[in-house]
Amino acid sequence: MSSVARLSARIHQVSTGRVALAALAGFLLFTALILPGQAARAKAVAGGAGSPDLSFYYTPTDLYRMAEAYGEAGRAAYVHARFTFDVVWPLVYTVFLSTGISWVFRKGAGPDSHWQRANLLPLAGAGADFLENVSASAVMVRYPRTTPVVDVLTPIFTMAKWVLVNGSFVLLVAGVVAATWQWRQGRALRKAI
Amino acid sequence: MNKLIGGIGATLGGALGWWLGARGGFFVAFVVSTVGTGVGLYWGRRVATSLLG
Repeated sequence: MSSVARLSARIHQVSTGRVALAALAGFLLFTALILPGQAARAKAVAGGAGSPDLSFYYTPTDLYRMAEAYGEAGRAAYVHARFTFDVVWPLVYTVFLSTGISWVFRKGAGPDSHWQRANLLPLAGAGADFLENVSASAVMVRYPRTTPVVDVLTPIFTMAKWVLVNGSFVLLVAGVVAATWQWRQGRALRKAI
Repeated sequence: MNKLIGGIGATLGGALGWWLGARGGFFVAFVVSTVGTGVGLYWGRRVATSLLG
């Protein structure tokens, strides 16, 4: 078994119904209690200039324009948020998505289905998020000096993050539909017997 | 190749969804982009299947 398959299997092992439910509760609590305050602080820092984290695509020029608009204090606040809030938040959504996807696909797809590996997609999304945080912070810390290569990679990490995180939500919904369908089929079969 | 074309479809769908939803703010952009990612993935894989068999 490859290390990727072992990691997926390990996540399945811990993703019981209770764990998935607790992760959902944690995700909802974080979204309701922490996210609005963080969004307000980010908005205050950005001052209408936008944020790399909350854009789907931007150019290196846009990134430097944001760094300029934030000012020195704003850039420091941005970097601080990347290594405090933005360390915890990817962990929260990754645990929720990975355990949720594991649980619903165990109910909705066969044990040998390749869909069982779908629980790894949120991990890739969090990886892209962390890379985005590090590279965007490097650009902010070094500004007004330019940061070649990293300034080109940062928007790519951001786009990869959104595609992978959005894709994880799509998989979760697809898994819920598949699990519900299997459950209804099972119930109809039991009634027939 | 199917996965690559599916990934390109997901990226294009996600980008289009974000652009369409951006006028409603970040949350709307995120939700519409998620739908766009799913639709793009589906069509990307369909195109790949019809082209490559």
